Amino acid sequence: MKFRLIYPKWEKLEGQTQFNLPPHGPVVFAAALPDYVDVEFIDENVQSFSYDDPVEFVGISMMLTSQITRGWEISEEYRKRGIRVIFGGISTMLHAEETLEHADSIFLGEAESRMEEVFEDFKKGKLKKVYNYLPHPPDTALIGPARRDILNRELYYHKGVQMVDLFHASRGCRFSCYPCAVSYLGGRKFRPRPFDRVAEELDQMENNRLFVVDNSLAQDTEWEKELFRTMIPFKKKWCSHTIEDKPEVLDLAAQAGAWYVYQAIFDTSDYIKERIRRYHDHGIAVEGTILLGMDNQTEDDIRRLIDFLLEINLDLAEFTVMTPFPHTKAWDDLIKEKRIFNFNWNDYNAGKVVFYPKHMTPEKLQSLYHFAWDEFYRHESQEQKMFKLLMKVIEKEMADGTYRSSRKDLVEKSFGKEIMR
Amino acid sequence: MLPDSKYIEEIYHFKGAWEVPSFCELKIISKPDKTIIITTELYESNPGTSVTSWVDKLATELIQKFKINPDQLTFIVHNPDRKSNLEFFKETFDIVNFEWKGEKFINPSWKRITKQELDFLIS
Repeated sequence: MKFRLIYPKWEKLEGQTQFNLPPHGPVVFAAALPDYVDVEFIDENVQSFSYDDPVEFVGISMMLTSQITRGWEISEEYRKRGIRVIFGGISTMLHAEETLEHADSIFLGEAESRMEEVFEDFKKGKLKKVYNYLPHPPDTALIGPARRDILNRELYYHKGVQMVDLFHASRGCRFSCYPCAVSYLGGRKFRPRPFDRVAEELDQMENNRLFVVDNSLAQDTEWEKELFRTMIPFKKKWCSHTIEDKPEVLDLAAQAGAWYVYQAIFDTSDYIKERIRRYHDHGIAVEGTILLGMDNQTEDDIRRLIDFLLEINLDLAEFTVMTPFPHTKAWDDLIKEKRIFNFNWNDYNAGKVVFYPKHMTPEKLQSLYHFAWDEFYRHESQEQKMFKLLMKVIEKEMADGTYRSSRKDLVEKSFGKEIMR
Repeated sequence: MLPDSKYIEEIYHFKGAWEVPSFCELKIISKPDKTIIITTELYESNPGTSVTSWVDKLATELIQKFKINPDQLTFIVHNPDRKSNLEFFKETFDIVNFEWKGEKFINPSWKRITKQELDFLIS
């Protein structure tokens, strides 16, 4: 059966260096498909397609809220042609009721062990409107190695350098952070994958640079340490979301190939300063993730925060504006207070202000967001800082013999397109 | 979490968005002319949907289950203090007003009240 799986494009943030990473959700989903399904994957950020290509069934996988209106548009075109369309993925779950209006079917929850039912129903012409497995997450032992073979690999190179591959060792999250919907999506219970399955997947991955996309690795110290011990023999180099900064964890993380970590920076405290220092002491770089527009931030606070980031020698910084995604406490609070003024989901890209901040106008917050990017990268551009970060990983790879040179045949290309000089 | 017991009597289980099992804390105070329902958010102890995002459906469920006259309902949502430095995890109380349509509440709107105002209401 010819199944086309489409990952809709979205508008990238203005003024930022643009990168396209190979998507994770679709390759994990593809691993759950029955053997008879011939899946063709289209990442619309780097590929185009024709609605007239022969397909029997279409799946639309959506991660971001800013992908959904494009996903709905694609669906409507196929449905006009009599092709049935099913939606799945994170933003399908966040916007399920609305997506249902544009779909033959929506799948809610995690795909492992559920796809036989969906495809058998499709074959019988009895596709259900909703497959709701949100209340019943599967056993994580069923999560197989992701089907990265569905990706068109050459489209994920920039000037001959391959982008990181995305990988996960757990699902769910025991935390309940203010702007985050993970607990709704993956459950509030931390659900690690068995270590032998993690090792099986790492062993199959050709790419020696990874992004470990688990919501947070700082869920359980013993698990975290065992994960890093499992990773050590594979000599991968990786970035990830937060890890704990205990010395024994950082020692193991560094041995396991920790390249850089994302660290939320929400104030100018010594706690943050010390945490960054501890990562750096272990040779682990830090990309700060800075959320602007929280209710406790004034304009002065934001300006002080930017000065602080420059003082603490962050390797990279990523600024976003607070965005109230559905199924988060941020959404609950701002809806209650009638402070959301923009419900155009295309603008929910974390770079546009869609609500009334407490201590400033939306316009002021928008200008501070641009100021933050400009100020942090004033003396050294984002691309220059990224290059320095790349040099750090190359040094590590040279030291342990895992370095692979860039693809000479792709040095004139960026994500499949010729570089215009 | 150790919220103030004067606002809590029991853990209430409900099915939230897409039937995900969800919990909140609950206290029902009956007065001659009104019934006050106080629901308390459980944050990470709640495996499912928040009270706030399910408030109209939860209020409908509660008045049906406990046979409360919708015209005499005062519905309170309590967000307990999480002892965080962040402002959005401070303790808050909101009265939620609804429209009654057919057999259910719709169109919730929230009005922030102080703890003193709530204490006066339930005294």
